[in-house]
Amino acid sequence: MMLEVKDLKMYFPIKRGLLRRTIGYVEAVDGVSFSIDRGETLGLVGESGCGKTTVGKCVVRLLRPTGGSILSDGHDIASLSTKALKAYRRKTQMVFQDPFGSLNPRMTVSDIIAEGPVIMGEGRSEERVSELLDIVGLSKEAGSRYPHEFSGGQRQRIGIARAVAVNPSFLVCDEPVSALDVSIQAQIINLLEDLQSKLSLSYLFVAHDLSVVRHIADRISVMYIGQVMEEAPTEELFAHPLHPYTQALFSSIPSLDPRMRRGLNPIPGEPPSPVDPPPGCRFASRCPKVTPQCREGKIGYVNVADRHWVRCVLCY
Amino acid sequence: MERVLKIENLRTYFHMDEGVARAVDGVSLSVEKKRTLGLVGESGCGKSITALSILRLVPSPPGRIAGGSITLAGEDILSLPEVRMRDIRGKLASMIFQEPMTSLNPVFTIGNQVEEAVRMHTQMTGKGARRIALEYLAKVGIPAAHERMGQYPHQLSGGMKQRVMIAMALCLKPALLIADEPTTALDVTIQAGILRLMKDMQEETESAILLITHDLGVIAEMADDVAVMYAGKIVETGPCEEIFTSFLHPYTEGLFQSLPGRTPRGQKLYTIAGNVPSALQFQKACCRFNPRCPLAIERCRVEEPPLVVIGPAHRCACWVRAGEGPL
Amino acid sequence: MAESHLHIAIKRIRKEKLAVAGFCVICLFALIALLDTVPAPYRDAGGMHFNRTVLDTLFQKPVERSYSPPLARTATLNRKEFTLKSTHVLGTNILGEDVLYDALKGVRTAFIIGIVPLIIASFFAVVFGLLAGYYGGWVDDVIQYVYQVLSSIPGILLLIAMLTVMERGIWQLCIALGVTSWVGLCRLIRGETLKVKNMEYVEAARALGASDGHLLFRQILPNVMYLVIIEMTLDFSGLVMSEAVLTYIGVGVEPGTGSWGRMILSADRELPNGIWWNLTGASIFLFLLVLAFNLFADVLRDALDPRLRKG
Repeated sequence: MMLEVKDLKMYFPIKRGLLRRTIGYVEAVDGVSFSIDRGETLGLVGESGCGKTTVGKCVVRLLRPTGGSILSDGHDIASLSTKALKAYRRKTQMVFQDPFGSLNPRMTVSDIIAEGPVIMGEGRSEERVSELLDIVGLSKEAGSRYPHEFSGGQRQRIGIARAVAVNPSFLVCDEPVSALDVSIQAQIINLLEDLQSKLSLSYLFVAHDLSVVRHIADRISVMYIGQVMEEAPTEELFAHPLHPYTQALFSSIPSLDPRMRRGLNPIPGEPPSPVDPPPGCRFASRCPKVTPQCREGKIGYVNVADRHWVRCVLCY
Repeated sequence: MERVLKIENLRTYFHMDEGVARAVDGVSLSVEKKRTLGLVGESGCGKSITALSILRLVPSPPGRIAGGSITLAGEDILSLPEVRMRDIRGKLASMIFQEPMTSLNPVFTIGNQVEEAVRMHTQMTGKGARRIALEYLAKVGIPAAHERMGQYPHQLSGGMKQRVMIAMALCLKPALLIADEPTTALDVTIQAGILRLMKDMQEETESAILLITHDLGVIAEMADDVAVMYAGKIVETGPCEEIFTSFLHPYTEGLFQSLPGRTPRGQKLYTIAGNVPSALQFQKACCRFNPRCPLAIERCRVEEPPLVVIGPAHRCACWVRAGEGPL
Repeated sequence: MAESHLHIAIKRIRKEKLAVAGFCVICLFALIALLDTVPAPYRDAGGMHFNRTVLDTLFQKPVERSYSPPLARTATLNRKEFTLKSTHVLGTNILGEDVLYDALKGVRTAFIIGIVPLIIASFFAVVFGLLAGYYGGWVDDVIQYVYQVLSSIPGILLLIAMLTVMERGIWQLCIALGVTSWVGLCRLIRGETLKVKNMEYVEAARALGASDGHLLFRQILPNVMYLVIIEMTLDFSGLVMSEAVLTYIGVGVEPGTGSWGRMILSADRELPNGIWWNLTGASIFLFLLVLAFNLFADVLRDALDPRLRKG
């Protein structure tokens, strides 16, 4: 097991007043658990505000979790100080979503790619930069140019080269293709899969596009307002979605066949705020199958079938 | 069915320092009442500029409508004075945009903004306008519309804001609604609601809809007819079912093949080689897709293929697949 | 060829003819200032050592006994006419000194006053702005308190207080001006830092293990520097004109240093005698330099604006 996340919590305090007193918490991530084996891709899906990006940032330690543990090869990195994280940073890197905001406009492409090894004390190697440009499918000349001279897809390649430059074994991909056109998405997905086998990488693939995740992920975790509602191997999840939210999510996806128009049944209501949420199931206010039992106490995360977990009292 | 919009050979060019960008270069399409035309293409293909051209909102300079004709509900758009255009925008044809966050004015309440749309185009006074605003805000599904009318855009979620935009766009029952990537910035469950709403409202207002998007799923759910656009030109058009089941143009094929859902897990996704061209690139006649086309022949590099009929209402512009038309 | 932001900015500026003209005028003035910095000392026949600059060699004219209008051949003193020792293109002032020479000598002063205080101010503004924006919390509170207090004191009083304590001199004047004018730029830099520190490329560097220092100076600073450049070009004119004002109220540069302010000051005594050319000469030079800078700065500002960047 490469990475194991147990009961991860990330609460953001809301501060008010001159003395910055804390008046409440945004429970962005509230008890998320999953594990990823070597060479595996776990897809983390959910809509905006569910906390999936926050989970990704915790795994890369851009954020320090409020609670829970993140075990990397057995060692808990969740509460390590910044200094002690140096070794971990070599192993775990991130690919960002926005091809336009994730590259420093004032640095050349080689500077951007070489920065990682330089920060880690390995010095700068032009050879390595050329090698990396080649791995991601860019020409050597690209190194001396600036990010704004490239298209969105090419910038994502640069971002991937930067992440891979320090020889990580694990990548968190935070919506890496969401901002790209369909034909370019395909190119980048192929590149990521390629690199996965070439460089023996494991991925935590955060996305909201289910068709992309279905293609690339071995297993999928579905998140809603800070919690995982369901997790299963990919095909199992699509064949037998158990949680009402997963079912609703799937039925909202437009089909690609005009002859089979679903009629799109939107989920009624609005999601509750992650600030001091109500007890019970977080989906209760919008669930078509809600029962009184759903609003009481903590809803357990239970293993109901082979590697298939659900957080729903109706599914046990 | 009554034709609401007819565009013929529209050309919109941008005069930049680096040259003339032919963003829209000979586009023809039409939409009928109560029907939805899906205009699909990737970024940079000119679909948004086409929409802006219809309402004459192209930033000018550096852009200008260089040729062609646009007929909207019988009016020749390109020859109208600006005063008349202002009348038309919002009343005869209205538009909703991708980013609900920036399309609504943050310093006015949502009720105010819908009212303003009504007041600008009718003789109604405050009370009457307010009544219509309330009616439409409720119709688009804003819960407790009466209270929420006094709220400001930042107090609403993305989906709610888009519903307000739809209310503003449809409260005057325009003949044409142009929706430019209306759900791209929204979650899939919210998207479902918005698309459903648009369909329901279309039934009521009997508007024609020009739906612009790069999302083939949205097209499949919403469009009656489809036009595929690439590098400023329409490369294929036809009824939605026909396009989805019997697409012909290599670019359309590439778009469909690139979809992750079409390839089994473990296999490499199909990709269209190369990048989307810039609008400055094509100065000589040719098929614009030829540098990336796996089927390109010599003719494709020197002559531009016309849109020819290949099936009932199905047209394609390709030397290899459609040739010169039926014999 | 890589297209850095400098390239893009230059391309944009080249398109505006007025800006290019402004830039040429600035270069011309800069040349004059340069000539006034390069020493060309000489000893005269009597063995006296003079500190001269190249500018002096080219433009210094003998002092006449009285004032004279531009291009005059003769002048009057005590109602007696006398011939002038040489031609004075802009005439001579009430003390008989060549006006053109005086005005040219003022160029170097103007450049020093226009640029050095800004370098000093930028230093404070950048350091405090970066720290306040990046760390937030109490660091931000303290820095904001400092500059809010500073900006509440009328600038001119602060200046006078400082200059009264220090000796008079051009460098003292620069320090005083620098120390009292960093607040505006600091606010801008703090604001921009707040924005930049949340950009994904900064996060990416943090994920690579970059230290705070690395993030501040390697990632954030290059992206806020454009504000400094813009501020420098904007404030240049104001500072040059403030020298004139400060000299007028008596706290400007020491006598002996070229100063348009002093030329303008002497209009007090000269205008009643119908001597208009001294004031005019100084004003024309001041006006030309400030106008050139403003024309250039306007376009430079637009050229450096990241929002107008392509892509």
